[in-house]
Order: sequence, then structure tokens, then C-alpha cells
Amino acid sequence: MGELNAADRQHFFAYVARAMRFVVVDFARRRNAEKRGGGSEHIAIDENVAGVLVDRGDEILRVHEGLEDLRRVDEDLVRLVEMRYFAGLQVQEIAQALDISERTVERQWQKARAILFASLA
Amino acid sequence: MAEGAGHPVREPRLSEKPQFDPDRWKAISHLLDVALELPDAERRAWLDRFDPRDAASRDVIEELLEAYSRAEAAGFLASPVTLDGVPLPGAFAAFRQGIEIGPLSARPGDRPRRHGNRVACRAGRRAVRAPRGGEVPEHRADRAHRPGAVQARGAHSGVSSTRTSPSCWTRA
Repeated sequence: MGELNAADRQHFFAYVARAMRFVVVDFARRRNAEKRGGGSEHIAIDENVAGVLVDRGDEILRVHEGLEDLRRVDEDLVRLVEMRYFAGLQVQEIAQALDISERTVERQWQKARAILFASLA
Repeated sequence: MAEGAGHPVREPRLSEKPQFDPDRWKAISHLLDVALELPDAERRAWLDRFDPRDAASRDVIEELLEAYSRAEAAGFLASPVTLDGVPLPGAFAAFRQGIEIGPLSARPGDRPRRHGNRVACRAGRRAVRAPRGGEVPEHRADRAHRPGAVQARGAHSGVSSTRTSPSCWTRA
């Protein structure tokens, strides 16, 4: 019984973070639909989660769309945003998961924020 | 950056929605790495040393640096999606614990290690329990044999933290 190797760990963390992204985005979309009336369809949403997402729903969806554009040029930045923003991992945790230095994570994070902010402004 | 007289003709500046091809972005990204490593006070001088023939890259980098400053000021992506200050619960809570305790798996015949009573290895919400001194039943082992998605939780009150054991199972 061994630990996951570095490549498996990276894939695992990336996979879960991406899954979290789409869970969060789905909540945000549903919440936005409810805010707009949503027709006659009512979707049960965990009120605790929905309540928190209501204020950040637009930001979440915009970031999500920005990541789709960013994916074409830099998959690593997309993965980092998913881990940091959508999955809430700390810099240290990401560095450990991806087997890179914390300074590299911080610098990548700065780049991701810059290019997403520029693209969403 | 101001467009001064005598500057060479430049490519269009960074648009509201920057479009890069991967090779172009790779070059910009490398230069941005250099810029981000510099103290703020030194960045201007560094930008001014750019080859005038590559003014377009300089402009893009300068605008990205400015965008980062504005993102900081605006609190853009300053904090992750949270639930009352706590990262989203559910599956990701298990994920976070998985990071701290390391990947785990259980197979038929495995015995719980270290914890005298019993240990449950959970895959999602389904617990796989092994009785005192017992083995993991074969029909349950596949539930737990999901590296990374599996977390260990001490079922005994004496096991205070899931972080105590990087590996709760031992081969029989």
C-alpha cells in the first residue's frame, strides 16, 4: 500500500478542485436563476450554501467563464485558480500537492489574478 | 503608459479581454515572472530597459502589473468561496482531510493498524468498518479502496484526530 505518486497526487487534486468548481458554479447558476424567477421550476438548494453564494454568484460565474478563455493558453493557471479559489486550498497545500515551491504558487497566483482581472474588467 | 512622441508603432494594447496564443503567452508569462520578482520600486526601471522593438510586450506586462494592483485593491479573488468563512463543506471537507492524512486505501484482509479498537475508512459517506482485530470484509473493501477519496476516521474515542495516522491499514 503506497502513497500516491507525485503525478497521481497532482491529477487527484486537480480533479477534485475542478469538481468543486463545477459544483460551485452550478449552485451559483441555480441561485441566479431563482433570483430571476426561474420560471415554474424550483430547484432545491442547500440554503446555507445558496445564501453565501448569492452575493458572489456573479463573480463566480465570471471567473468561471474567464477560466474557459484562460484554459486555451495556460492550463496551469486554470488549475491553480480552481485549487485556490474554488477549492480553498492554501498556498502551502497547493505547493505540496503540485510539488512546486510556495513562491512559485504565489507568483502564479498573482499572474492568474492579473490576467483574469484584466479580462473581466 | 503614455504614448510618447518618437515611440515606434505598437501593436494594439491589452484589450479588455486579452487574447494570447499559447506561445505568445509563454513569452509574456516568463517576463511577468521576472517583473513580479522585482520590488515595486525597481519595476519601472526594468520596464524602461525594454528593447523599444518589443514595446508591445512591455505594454502588456505593464498593464498586467496594473491589473494585478487593481485586483488587489478591489479584493478580486482575495478569498476563496466559503461558507461563513469556512471552505465549502461536504465532499471538499473530506478532500481537505485527505490532504492532511495522506492517501489511504483498504483491501480484503487488511487489518486496522495502531488503533486498538476499530477504524473506519470512509469513501464519501459510506463507512467501512473493521471490528477489533478483524479484517476488512471483501465485499466492503472496494468501497474503501479509492485512494485519495478515502479518509480515515478513528471510531474509537481515544483516537482524537484523523491526522494521527498517515496510514491506518496494514497488510494482513
